[in-house]
Amino acid sequence: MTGRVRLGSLASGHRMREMKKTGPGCGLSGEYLKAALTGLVAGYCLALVLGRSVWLDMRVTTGHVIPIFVACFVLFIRVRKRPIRLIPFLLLELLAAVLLFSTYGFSSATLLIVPAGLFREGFHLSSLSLLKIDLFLLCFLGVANAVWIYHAVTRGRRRNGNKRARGESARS
Amino acid sequence: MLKHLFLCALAFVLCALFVAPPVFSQEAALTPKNPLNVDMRERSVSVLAQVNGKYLVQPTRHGVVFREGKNGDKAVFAALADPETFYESLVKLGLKPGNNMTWDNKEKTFVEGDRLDVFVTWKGAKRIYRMDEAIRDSNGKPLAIRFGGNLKNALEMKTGCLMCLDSCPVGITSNATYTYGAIETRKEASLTGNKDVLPPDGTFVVITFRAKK
Repeated sequence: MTGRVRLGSLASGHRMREMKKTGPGCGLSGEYLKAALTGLVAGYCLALVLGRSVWLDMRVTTGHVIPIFVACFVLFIRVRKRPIRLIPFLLLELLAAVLLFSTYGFSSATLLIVPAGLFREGFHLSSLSLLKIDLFLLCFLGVANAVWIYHAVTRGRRRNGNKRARGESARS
Repeated sequence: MLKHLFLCALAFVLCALFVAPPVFSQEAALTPKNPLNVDMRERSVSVLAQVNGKYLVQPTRHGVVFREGKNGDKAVFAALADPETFYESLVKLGLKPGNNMTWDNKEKTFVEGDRLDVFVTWKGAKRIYRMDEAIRDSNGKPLAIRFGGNLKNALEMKTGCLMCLDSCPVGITSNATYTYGAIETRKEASLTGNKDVLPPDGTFVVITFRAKK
């Protein structure tokens, strides 16, 4: 029993170190941010699916699933300590876009109104206009995506560089 | 000749100013602290509200709802006036509520009560729009707004509904074109705010309910 606990704590410690290694300047706080971002997009996906039903939309605030998902993903990272990968996150973003445009049609109004509307009702920000929320989402998602992709690319390059160096040292 | 033409044009402009419906003048009078105005001469009640941009894209069955009610964020227009004051104002105009909608008959009964013409305008609007123009019905049917009454239910449920888009046992006024459930469950129609007509999210508008002449 104690052995199991010890093994478990060792594995958890290893994962923690793995998480800290995920990219330059991307420690645990970076992982929490990634978790929050993934939770936000996953929450959007579910809110968009729920919003397809007018009956449900009139009875519950579908936007509430967004903060719930953000909290769940952050808690998941805290408990399981597993890093979130970029590719699944990008696929989730793609899914959210497909759901958005397939539900409400492809138009600029859809893009400008629906995400901001869900965010506003989910976080109870009724005093903010959709335009302000659009600007915030654009900045937040844009910067977060750019930083995450940059980290993933630089990490990949570093890994390739290390492999090459190891290969050269083995040959010599 | 030119002088005559100028005088005619001036007279026309002056006439237009006086003939223009009173909502434009009420727009200035209505404020968040004073969100409702009763015009006994015109037999109309004007309410200050804000556009909810979400329902310019998504369908809803709520037209105008008091923003502090349970359904305050589910309507095309979030009103600043409460249902009780709105009901009393309509009664003050001498309008008779239908009070024919119940929980049992709601899906088979059309709302009754005195008929109302509903208009919407805002600062910078080109003109006063009929609610039919501001709300898009997928079937293209016009709204038939009636003074349903339902004050008891409205006070019990605290939904804040001032104008529902189908016949409703809670809304003070509602649309007699459809019975309850036509939008939500039976999908007979889909109603949204008209984004080609209405101003952007958050814009203050004046909604006028006038007794049908």
